Parts: sequence; structure tokens; C-alpha cells
Amino acid sequence: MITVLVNGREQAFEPAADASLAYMLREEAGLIGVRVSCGEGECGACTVLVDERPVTSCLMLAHQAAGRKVTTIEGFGSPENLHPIQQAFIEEQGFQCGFCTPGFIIAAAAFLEENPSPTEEETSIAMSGNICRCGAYPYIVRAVMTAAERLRGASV
Amino acid sequence: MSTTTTEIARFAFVRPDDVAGAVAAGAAAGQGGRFWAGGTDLMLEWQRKQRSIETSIDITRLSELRGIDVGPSEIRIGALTTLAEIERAAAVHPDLETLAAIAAVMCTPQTRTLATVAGNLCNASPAADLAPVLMVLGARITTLTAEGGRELELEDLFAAPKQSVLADGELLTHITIPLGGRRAVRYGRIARTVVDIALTLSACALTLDDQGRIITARIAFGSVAPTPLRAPSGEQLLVGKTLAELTPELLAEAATAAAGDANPIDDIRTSAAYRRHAIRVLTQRALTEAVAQLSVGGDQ
Repeated sequence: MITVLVNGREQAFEPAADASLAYMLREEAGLIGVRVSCGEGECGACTVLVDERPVTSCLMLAHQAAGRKVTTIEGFGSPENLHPIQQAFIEEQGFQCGFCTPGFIIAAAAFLEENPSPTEEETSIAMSGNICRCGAYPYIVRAVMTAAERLRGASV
Repeated sequence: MSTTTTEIARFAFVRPDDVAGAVAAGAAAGQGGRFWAGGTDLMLEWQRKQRSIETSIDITRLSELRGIDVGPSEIRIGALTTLAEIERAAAVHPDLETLAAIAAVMCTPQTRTLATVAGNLCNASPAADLAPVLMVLGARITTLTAEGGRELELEDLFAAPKQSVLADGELLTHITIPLGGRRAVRYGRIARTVVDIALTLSACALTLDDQGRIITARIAFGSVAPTPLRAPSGEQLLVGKTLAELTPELLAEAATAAAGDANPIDDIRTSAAYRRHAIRVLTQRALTEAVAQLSVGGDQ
């Protein structure tokens, strides 16, 4: 048995030895905001934060998360009080179907933490680990730029 | 050390607390054991049933195998240093700038958080991007088993596609890059875009001695042979020359000779003919840039 700090709450799990972190979060924790699309670390839909760094959770063994801090999209904001990145994605229409959106938002959060004042090009490159099948990329970049501006304002 | 086996699991998962525990676990597991670090290749090979694993030995908690240390005569890179950490290592030492630049275009940001330098090397892919640049940096690797350790040249690690020379239970602990002389390290890489695996990669390193002569010249390739490859035929033409003697004609000749060492194949990514052509062009450009870098440095 392992314990993981998931979205601020200590939880116990009993994953199979070869289960992925993505599988455990979806099937055992019910966190279906963790999307599994390619399952091969290419598309970024399953991106979560582990100890504040972004990882493709489909490639990480669940057991490797023992004792660590994991944040999924469910840990970002709430319906009444959206995270600034979530708000910016809605305002800038940074999605169509929304399937890839949790992964994009988490990748953006990790990126902006490291680079709070990015250029559009830096943002595009930083989002290269996420695939949007609807092709909303220009809107996604705009959403991340808008979020960056707001987060900078909030921290002043 | 914790051990987990469940009924539906098809391998045992063990997490040793230190390096000694890891090699003991490796010895106990024998042929069916695998050291599991970032697991970004292993997870896929396991799921695709390309590899049988009886025991996965999680080494990611072994903090002594992590990080980059710069000493007076060498740089030491811990086996578990992630691609994300390598990507940010340009400031650590100028000789790591090229390694950092290559790490920054490998796989994706969220996969680079997991993937480790030792994993990139030990999986022994002919397309392992870090291998050629570490080879031109003269890297050696240090390994450990329950019986003891050994050191070998990185270029001797690769046996065949996806096959290293390491024995069962042999753990790569760190990579050592010797320092000394004034060195320029350059590379050329062709891939469709970021995230893509390289079609071909050429890296070179030229080192000047105090008299202004090339004391070592190294050229190495990715994705043009069954393993990452040194290209000695091109190197020999450069050693002992002064910068003034490294004319565009000589660099072109060296690039052509180096490309002759390549042995590319046709595959889904591109053709052998394209790779053979591209590797020559990339090598010529990389050598030209390296000479330019050394020339500028000499004026300071």
C-alpha cells in the first residue's frame, strides 16, 4: 500500500506493481480530469504535477508516486473560483472539445511558474508536449499569454 | 526496502534505499531484473510485450545518483539526472551547452521531467540523442554490480540496436566528462519538429592545446548506424592542425570522410540515401561552427 498527497489530501492506494500513475488516478481516485489519449507519452493529455513538476502520468509507475505530492486539474480552482489559467482558457476560447484542456492547463501552470513573462514563441515551444486534435493552438497560446499577464498582476 | 507484488501484477516492484541495496536487488533478480528510472521507454516496452520483466527495481529515490558536479578536471553527471535538469545545465559549465540544447528538443517537457540521462544511454537506441554529444565530450561511464565497479568509454556501451554491453544487475551510476584545453562542441540535428526523434544527428568537439593546435577532434553520429557511432575517419584529418589550416576545403573533406563511416538504413522516418547525405552536410556545418567558435575565442 502507498500513500500519495493528491490535490492536498493524503490518500492510500493499492495499485498493481505495473500500473501507471494515470491509471491509478483515474480508476482508483476517480480523477477523470486525467485524460489518457495516446498512453505513450506523446500527447500530454495525462499531464499532472508531481512535486510541482509536469509529468506524463501514463509513463510513470503509480508506485513511484509514493509519498509525493500530485496535482491534477481537479486541484486547480473550483467552479465558483476558477484558476486564472482556467479563466483565460475560457475567455480566449483555448479549446473546442476540451478533451486535451486539463493537460494543457497543467503544462501551462508549470511553464509559467518557471517563466512568468514568456514570449509567444516560448509559449508555443513550452506547449509542444500537448496535442490538441481540434487545432486550437493559436487560441491556446493566447490563453497562456493572457493568464501570464494576470498572474504577473496578481503577484505584484 | 519495500517490495510489492500483487496478484494481477506481472512483475515485482522493489524500491531499494541506497545504491548498495540496488545492486544487491539487481543480483538477486538476475536475468529478469530491470533497473527502473524514468521508465519512459521501459513502460512502453512492457505494455507492448516487447520485454519480459520479472522484477522492476525502482532507483529513482537514490539521491546520490542525481545531479551534476563540476570538479577541477572533470564534470560528473549522476545517472538519474533528468533530461529536464540537463536542459537547464548550460549555466553549469560551457562544455555542457550543446548537451543542454539537445536535451531541450528531446521528447516533450513533461516526459523530460521523468526521463534520465542513464536511461537514454542504457536503452541503447541508435537514435539516443545524448549519446553522440557525450561521446565527442570524451565521456566515460561508471557502473556497479554486487561484485564491484568498472569504468568504460561511453562508445563501448553500445552492442546492438537496443542492446548495451551491461550485464544483468549492472547499474550505471554516473557519467564523467574530462575537462582540459579550449573546446568547442557543436551539433546538427534534423527532425520533423520538436518532439520528433532525430532523422540524423552529428556532433563534433574540437580541442585546442596551448600552441593553438587541434589536440583532439571527435565526431559522432546518431541514427545512421545500428548504434551511436564515432566517426574516426573524419577526425584523423583534423588532429594536429592549426585553426588557419582548417580551411573550408579541409573541413569538407573531413565531413565526407566522416560520413563514410556511417552505415544508415531505410526506415519509417527517412531513407538511407537521405541520411548519408544529411550526415555529411550536418558534420561540415558543425565543424565550421566549431572552428569559428575557437577562432573568436582566440582573439580575446
